[in-house]
Amino acid sequence: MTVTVTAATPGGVDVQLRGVIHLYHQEGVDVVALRGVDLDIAAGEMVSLLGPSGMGKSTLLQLLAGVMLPSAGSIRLGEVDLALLGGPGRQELRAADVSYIVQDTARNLLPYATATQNVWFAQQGIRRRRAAVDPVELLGLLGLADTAHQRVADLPQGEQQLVALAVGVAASPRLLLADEPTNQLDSAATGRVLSLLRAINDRLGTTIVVVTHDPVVAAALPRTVTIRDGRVGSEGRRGTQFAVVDGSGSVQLPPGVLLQYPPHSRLIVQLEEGRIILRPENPGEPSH
Amino acid sequence: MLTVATVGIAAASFGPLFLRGADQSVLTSTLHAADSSNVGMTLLAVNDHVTPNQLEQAAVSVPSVPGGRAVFGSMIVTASAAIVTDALGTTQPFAADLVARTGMCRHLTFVAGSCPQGVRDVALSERSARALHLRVGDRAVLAVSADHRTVTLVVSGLFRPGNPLAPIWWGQNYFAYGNGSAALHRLDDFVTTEQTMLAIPAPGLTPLLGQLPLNSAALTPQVAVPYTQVLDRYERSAPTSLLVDPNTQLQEVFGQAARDEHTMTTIVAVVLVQLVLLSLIVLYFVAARLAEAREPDVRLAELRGFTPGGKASVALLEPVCILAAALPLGLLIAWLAGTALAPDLFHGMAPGLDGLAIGSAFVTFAGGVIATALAARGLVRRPHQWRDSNISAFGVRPLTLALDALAVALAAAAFVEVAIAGVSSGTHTDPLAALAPGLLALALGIVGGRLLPWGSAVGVRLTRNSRWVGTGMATRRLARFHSLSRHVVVLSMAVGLATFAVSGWVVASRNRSVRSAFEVGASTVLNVDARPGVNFVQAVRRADPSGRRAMAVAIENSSDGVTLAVDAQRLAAVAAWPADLSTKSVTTIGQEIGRAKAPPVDLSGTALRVSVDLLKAVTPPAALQATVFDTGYDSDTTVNFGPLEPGEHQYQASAAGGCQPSCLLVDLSAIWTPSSDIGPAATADIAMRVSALAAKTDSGVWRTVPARLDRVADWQSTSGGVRLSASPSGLDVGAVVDADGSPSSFGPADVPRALPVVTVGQSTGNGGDDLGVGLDGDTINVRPVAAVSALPQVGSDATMADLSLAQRLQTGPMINTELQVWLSPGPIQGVVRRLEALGITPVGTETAVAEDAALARDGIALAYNFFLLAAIVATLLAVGSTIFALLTASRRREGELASLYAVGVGRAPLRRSLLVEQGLIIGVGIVLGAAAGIATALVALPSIPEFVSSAAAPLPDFRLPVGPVGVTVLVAVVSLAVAVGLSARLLIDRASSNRLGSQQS
Repeated sequence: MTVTVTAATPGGVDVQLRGVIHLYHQEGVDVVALRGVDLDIAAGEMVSLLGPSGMGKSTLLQLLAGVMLPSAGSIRLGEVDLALLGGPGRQELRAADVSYIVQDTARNLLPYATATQNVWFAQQGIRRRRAAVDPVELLGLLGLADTAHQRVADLPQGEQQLVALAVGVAASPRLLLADEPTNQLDSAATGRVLSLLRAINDRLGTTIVVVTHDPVVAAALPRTVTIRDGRVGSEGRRGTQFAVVDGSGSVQLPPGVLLQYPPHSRLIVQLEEGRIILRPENPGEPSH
Repeated sequence: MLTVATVGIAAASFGPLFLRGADQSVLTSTLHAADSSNVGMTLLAVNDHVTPNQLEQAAVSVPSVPGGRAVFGSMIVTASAAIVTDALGTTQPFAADLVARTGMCRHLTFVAGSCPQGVRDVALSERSARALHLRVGDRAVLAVSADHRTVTLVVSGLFRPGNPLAPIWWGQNYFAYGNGSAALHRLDDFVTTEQTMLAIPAPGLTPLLGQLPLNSAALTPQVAVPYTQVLDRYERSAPTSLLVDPNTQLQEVFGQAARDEHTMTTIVAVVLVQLVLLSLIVLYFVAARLAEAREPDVRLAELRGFTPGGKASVALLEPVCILAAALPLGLLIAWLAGTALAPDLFHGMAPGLDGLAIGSAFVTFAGGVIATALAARGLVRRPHQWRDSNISAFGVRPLTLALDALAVALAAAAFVEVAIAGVSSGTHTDPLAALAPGLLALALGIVGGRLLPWGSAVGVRLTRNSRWVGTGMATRRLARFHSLSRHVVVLSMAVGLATFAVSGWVVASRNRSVRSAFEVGASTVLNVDARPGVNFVQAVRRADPSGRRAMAVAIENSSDGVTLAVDAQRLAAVAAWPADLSTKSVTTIGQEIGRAKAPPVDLSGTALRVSVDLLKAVTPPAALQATVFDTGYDSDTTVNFGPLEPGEHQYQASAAGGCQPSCLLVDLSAIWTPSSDIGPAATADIAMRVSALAAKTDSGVWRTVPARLDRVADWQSTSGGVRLSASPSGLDVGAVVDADGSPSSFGPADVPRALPVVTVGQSTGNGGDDLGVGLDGDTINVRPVAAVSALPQVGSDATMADLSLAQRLQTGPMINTELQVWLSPGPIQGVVRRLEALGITPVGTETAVAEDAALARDGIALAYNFFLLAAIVATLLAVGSTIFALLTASRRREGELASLYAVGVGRAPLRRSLLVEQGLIIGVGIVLGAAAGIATALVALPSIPEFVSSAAAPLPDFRLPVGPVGVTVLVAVVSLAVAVGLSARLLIDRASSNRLGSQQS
C-alpha cells in the first residue's frame, strides 16, 4: 500500500545524550572515542557535528543509530532509552525511526539497482508495520525524478549522494543521521545536498544530525556542535559561537584562547556583572 | 556457482543412475558369460513313459517373471537310445547313441547326403561311417542296448563331427568317437528323426530330455530374488505334478551377479561419496565467496533495520535460487550422460531417472543449501564492523585450527585403515579402499592450506625492500588473508581424486587386457575340426611358415585334470604369456617342454621295409614286427614283417593304410613263440643289426628313412632288457626273448621317459616324476620342468606339454579333446584360408578383444569406468571453483588494483601479483593432490578388487601408469593456468584509473 506524502508531515524526535562514554578495544589497547558527551537535540532540529577526524563524531552517530551501545552513559530518542533495547529493538528502531547514512556514498546503495529499487529496498524493514511512501513519488518529491529509473552505478557522485539521502528517508524516519554527506563532492553538488537536507527537514520535520569536518557545511546548518577530544567543545547558533559547560562543569576554551593558556594553566574564574572573567593569577606572566 | 552446483547435483544423481544401468549390465554379462547349459532349464522326464506332449506341458508350465515375460525360449527335445552295431564284414562291435534332437542338423556340416527327414533315416559322422564301412544309402543294423531288439535304418547323410564344447550341445558330448574300450569301440552318436525314436518301444528309449534356453532379456535385477523363489517352488513340485525333474543353475548365477553387483555398488558408492563431498566442499567455498561478495548488501540490510530473516534472505536467496535452478539441470545432465553411455556400458539399455537418483539430487541440493547457510552464517549473525575493513578470516582462530587438526588426524587414520584393510585382513581386497584418495587428499589439503600462509610469510620477508613488487604483493596477500588458502583443500581433493581415478582405470584396463588375452590364450583362438588323416601340428606349421602367427593346440579334458598341449616351438611367439607368469621365460619353457633326445622316425608311405642282419639263428625263428602310429587317425597299427632269417635280409610289409598320409615309428619288436613243448621257461638269444629303414611312396619308389641307426643315443629299449649299440653299419640289437611271446622292443628315443610338463602351483624341486593324463586318456609319466600360477585358457588344475611329444605318447585316438589354432595379433584371413586348404576347418572363434569387452562389462570394470567419470567431474569442479573464486574476488579487488595502478604500480607487476598469488595456491593444491592420488594408487589399488572371478590368472600388475597420471596432472595444470591467466588479464584490463571514481568496495 502506498500513500502520498504531503508537506509538513510531523516526524521529528528528541535526542538526549547524557555522559556518553565509548571505548574501542583494539589489539590489547582501549581507545576512548567519547569521554562524556552531553547533548540535547530538539525534535525537528538540524544539527551539524563538526570536528577534525578522529574526534568521535562518527562514533556518536553510530551510537545514535543503535548500531552500537555506549560503554557508559545514556542515549534517549524521545521516550526510548537505547540502553534498554536489545538487538531486535534497535533493529526495529533503524527500520522505522532512525535512518543512518554512512560515510562513503556507495555503501548506502545497491550499485546494480536503480534509484527506485534502492528506495524500495530500504523500505522493506517497515513494510509490515506501516504503509510506505511510493518510491517514485518520493524521488519526485525530492527532485530526483529524472534519476528514478537509472542504475545507481551509472550516476555521477553527486547524484548518488542525493539518491542516498532519498534512501535515507525512504522509511519516513524521525531521525536522519548523515555521516560526511558532502565528502568528495564539488561545491555545486554540496549545495544540492544541503538544499535537499533542508527540504527534508522542512517538509518532513525530520530531526537531522550531520557529521562534517567542513566548517562551510556546518555553517550552512542552523546549529553546529563542535566535538573535540571526545566531548562537546562548543556550539554555534545563528553565527554565534558558544562554549558549552558539560556535566562536570568543564568548559573547553576556544582554540585561540587555548594557545595563550595551554593545558595545566591556572586561571582565576570570576563572575562579574553577568560576565565570566578568566584571568591568570599574575597578568603578564604564564601561570603554569 | 550454477555450473558448480549443476555438476555436483549431476554427479550425485548420476551415481544411482549408473548403478541401475550397471546392475542390469552386470546381470546381462553374467548370464551371457555363464554356460548356457547352466542357465537354461533342463526338464528330464521321470521315466521312459513320459510322452513328448507331457514334456511340452511341463515346458509351458515353467514360470514367467512378473509381468508375464517368458524367461526361457523354445524347448529342444532330445530322445536317445543306446545302440550297438558291427562294422560291415567284421564282428567288431561299436557302441553309440541313436539321437533325435530338435534342430540338430542345423549345427552339423554334411559332407555327403542330407539330414534325416523320414522314419528310418539316420545320419552318421564320416569317421563313424568309415569305421563301419558304410556310405550314404547303405543300411545300418542297430541293436538297441536296453532290449536287444534291432532296428534297421538307412544312411541318409554323413556329417563332420561338431565341436562337443559348443554351447548348442548343452554340455552333452554327441561326438565321443574313440572313447570306450578295446572290446567295444565308441562312435559318434547317430542322428535320426523324432518319429524314428518314438517308434522304438520302451524300454529302449532313455527318458525324454527337454532343454529350454534362457531369454536373458526378460531378466532384470529387480526380478531376480522373487523369480528365484518362484523357480524353487516349481522345481519342488514338478516331479510329482508334471512328471519331469527340472534343473537349472539360474539361481546360482543370480547369486553370482548379486555378489558382483554388491562389490561394484560398494566401489561406486565410495567414489560417489567422495565426489559428492567434494561437490559440497566446493559449494561451501563458492557460497562463502558469494556471501563475501554480498556482504555490502547484507550490511546495508542491517543498516536499514532488516530482521535476521530478512538479512538471511539477502545473503542466501541468490545462491539458493541458483541451487534450485541447478537441480533440474543436474538431473537432465545425469540422464543425458546415462543415455549417451548406455551403448558402451549398459548393453544399450539406458537407465531412467528413478527415485534414488532424484532423491540423491535432492539430498545434494539440501547439502548445498546447508553448505551455503553455513558459509553465510557469520555474515548474517555477526555484528558488522562499521569501521572500514576488507579483512576476512584474518589470522588463525583456535577453534578452526583444532577442528582442522581433528579432521587431519581422522582422515589419516582412516586412510591407513582402508588403504591396507584388504591386504592386512587376509582377504586381499576390500572395496572400501577406494575411500583412500579422498581421505588423504583432504588431510593433505587441510595441512597445505594451513601452511601456505606461513610459507608466504617467509616470502614476505624475502621480498621486503626488493624490486619484486608483484611477488611481494602476492605473498603479502596470502600471508594476511588465510581464507584464500582454503582453496588448496578443493584443489587437493579434486586433483587427488582425478589422479587416483585415472591410475585405477588405466591399471584396471591394463590388467583386464592381460587377463582377457590370457583367458583366451592368444589374440585369436580358432576352435577347429581337423579332417581325418590330417597331421594337425604339421598342417598348422605349413599354414604359417613364419612360425610366428599360428600354433596348434589340443586341450584334453578328463576327470583327472586338463592337459594343454601346445606346439612348443611356437609358444613364445604366439601365446599370451605375461612376463611375470613364471620365473623362467616362455622361450625357455618352450624349449624345455619340447625337448626330446631324438627326432621322430617318419615312415609315411604305403609299405615299410627294414634291413636286418640276424647275427645268430634262433629256432624257431623269431618274428619281426613294427608298431607305427598314424598321426592322422590317431591309431596304432602293427606291421608284421615275418620270421627273421639268419644273415642280411630286407623285410618289407604293407602298411595296411596305417602310414598314410603320415605315421611315426613307435618301435620294432622281436617276438618268439615256440611250440608249447619247449617249455615256458625257454628263452632265445636275439642278436641282430638293423642297418636301414625305408618307406614306399605313392609312386612306388622306396625312400630311405633317416633313422640315425648309427647313433645309439637316438634309440632306446621300450620293453626293457634290450641291449643297444651302434656302429657305422647300423644299430646292434641284443635281447633275450621269452617263450611267452612277449615282444622285446626298441624304438626311437623321440619320446622322453616322462613327458616334460609345466604345472600350476606345484614346485619342481624334487625332480621326481608325477603321473599325468595323455591325449588318449591314458595315464602317463610326467616330469614338471616349471611351475606357474595359471596356464593360458585352462587356468588351474592343468598341465602344459608339447603337443608333438604328447602325440607320440598316444596309443589311441584323442578323447575329450578340443583342437584349437592360436593366432598372434594380426590379420587372420590368410592363415584361415591356408588352414582350410590343409583340412583344418574353423568352427568357432574367440578373441582377446571380445573377452576384454566382456570383462569390461562386469561389475568391477564398470566401477572403474565410474572412476574415470569421477576424474572428469573432479577436474571440472576444480576448474569451475577456481574460475568462480577469481571472478568473485575481482569485484572486490578492482578498486584496490585501480588504486595501485593510479599510484604508479604498473600493469606487469599487478598481473604478476595475481598470477603468483593464484599460482602458489593452485601449485600447492595440485602438488598435494597429485601426491595423494599417486600415494593412494600405489598403496590402495592392490586392495580394491579388480576381477569378479577368482579363477587362476596372472597376478594383477599395479605399477603406476606414469604417462596417464602425468597427462592428468598436466591437464589440471594447463586448465587452471589458462583460467587464472585469462581472469588475471581481464581483471588488470578493467583496473584502470578511471575506475577510481566509481569504485565499489
